[in-house]
Amino acid sequence: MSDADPRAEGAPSWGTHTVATEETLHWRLGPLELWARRRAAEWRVAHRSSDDFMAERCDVTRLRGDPELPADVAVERFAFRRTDGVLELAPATADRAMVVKPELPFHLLPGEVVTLFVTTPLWLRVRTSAGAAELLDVPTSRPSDTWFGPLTRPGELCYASRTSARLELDDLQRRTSRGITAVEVKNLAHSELLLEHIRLPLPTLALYRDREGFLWTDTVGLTMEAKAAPGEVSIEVRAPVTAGDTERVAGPRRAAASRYSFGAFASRLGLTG
Amino acid sequence: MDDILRSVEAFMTGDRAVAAVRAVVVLVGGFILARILGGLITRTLGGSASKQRLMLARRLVVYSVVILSALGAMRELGFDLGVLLGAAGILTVAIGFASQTSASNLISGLFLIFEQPFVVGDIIEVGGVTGEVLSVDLLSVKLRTFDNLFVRVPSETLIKATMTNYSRFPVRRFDMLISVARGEDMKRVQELLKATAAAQPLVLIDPPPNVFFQGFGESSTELKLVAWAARETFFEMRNTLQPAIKAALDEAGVRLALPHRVLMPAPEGPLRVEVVGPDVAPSEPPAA
Repeated sequence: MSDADPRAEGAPSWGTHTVATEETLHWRLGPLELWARRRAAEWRVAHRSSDDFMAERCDVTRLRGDPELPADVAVERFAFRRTDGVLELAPATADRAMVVKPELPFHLLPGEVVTLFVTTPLWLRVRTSAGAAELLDVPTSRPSDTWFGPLTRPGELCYASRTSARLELDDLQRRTSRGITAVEVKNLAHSELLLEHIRLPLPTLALYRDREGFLWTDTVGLTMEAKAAPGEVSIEVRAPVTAGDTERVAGPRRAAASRYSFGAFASRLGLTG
Repeated sequence: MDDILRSVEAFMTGDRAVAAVRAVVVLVGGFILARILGGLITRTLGGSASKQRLMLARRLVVYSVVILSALGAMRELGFDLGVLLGAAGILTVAIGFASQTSASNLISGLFLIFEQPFVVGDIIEVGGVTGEVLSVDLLSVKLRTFDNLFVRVPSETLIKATMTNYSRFPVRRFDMLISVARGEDMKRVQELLKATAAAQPLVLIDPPPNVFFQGFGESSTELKLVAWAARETFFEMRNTLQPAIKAALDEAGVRLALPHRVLMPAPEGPLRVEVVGPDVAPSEPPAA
């Protein structure tokens, strides 16, 4: 695992790249490596992720000819009438919700509000030109699957975060390949709340870039209301405030839901009143 | 020859010919209407209803229209439907006695349709056959096995036999039996197995992987690793987990159990051991 300061190495080169014919763009961000080779009538794209999910590297190199790729990398080919040489690399949030745990479960007393900070791996979307069809939509590091809910329906297949939620922003290990999310948890119920897991609706969050080049998602507000049904929380999504001046770089994958109910399986989630 | 031609001419110009043409028109019109309505149902319900409900709705409408048009055609031909239905009632009793198996399958099929223990697209196992459900009909259920065979299972068999539906619940558990050598540190092996399973992206973090002590074998300690996966990725998880476990055990120097045999010398004296080969014959045993 690397502890290098990403600011010293420069912000990741998201956005549009121009690639000449028979040139390969080799792009690295955190654990992810991407090779995109342009030919006259096709793009050849390959990628792989290392096991070090907190790796911090961020560079772009251009290779001529047909570079030799590692043996464990599979190449995908995309045919076109004629390639236009424009390659767009865009960040995105995960394609499923992510379950995050605090370092240790904690109680939230009635009327209390806390803000937790979480980092989650970003996804990379590769397009040949702005607005055109996608060639690739892959995570910078593949999180493990987890099940959120009872073992029978209803429930949801989510990702499990490999890092913990922190109460202090400074305790977070910031990485350019990971998005930062602030989660505000409000307990308006009359009983205390044991917080063991949080489900982050990542596909419904937009991404913003701060001045240092780190990406933030929308802030998620989770409120346990006094008159809510057991196990029901309301979700509010708003632009991040903690991040300071930010610029929106990617929209959400889908529209947000305003309420989330986990009814009978509240005890499995830890969000029990 | 003239007689035949005259008979044909009389038929073609008479009322019976007109009635026959009308009957054909009603029958063909009914078939066309049934097809149109079937297509309409597929288009309107295709996005919202499940494959099973879509198939049922389509069949209900198509069969109803075809039966009604057949009855209409018979009426055009001059059949008295009241008499026909009365005769059909008597015929039904007779056929019922003669076709008890079919009737039993029919009733079982109705139960299956309303109970819905599985739907089209589910993977089920019944009577030793595992496959994807292609259709749920009144008399039978059609399956496609993984080796691409078409299997027809009578509805009655499904009602009577124990049936397993692999697609009912969204997550599945994989049990992996591991026999390690007796001398290994159980706690260390358990932790290693759990950590290796948890590191596989397709193994669910919740419910967490776990290791159970199963007992002592003849020359081993038996452990069971249980790991969960989403139904869709179950087989992929099973295929990636096993090599990962083997690699982790090898890397950690954990020995898998090999069968051991202890030979005890006979009470009369020590065992005589002698090396023999193709050119060396065994010597005579010493006299007792």
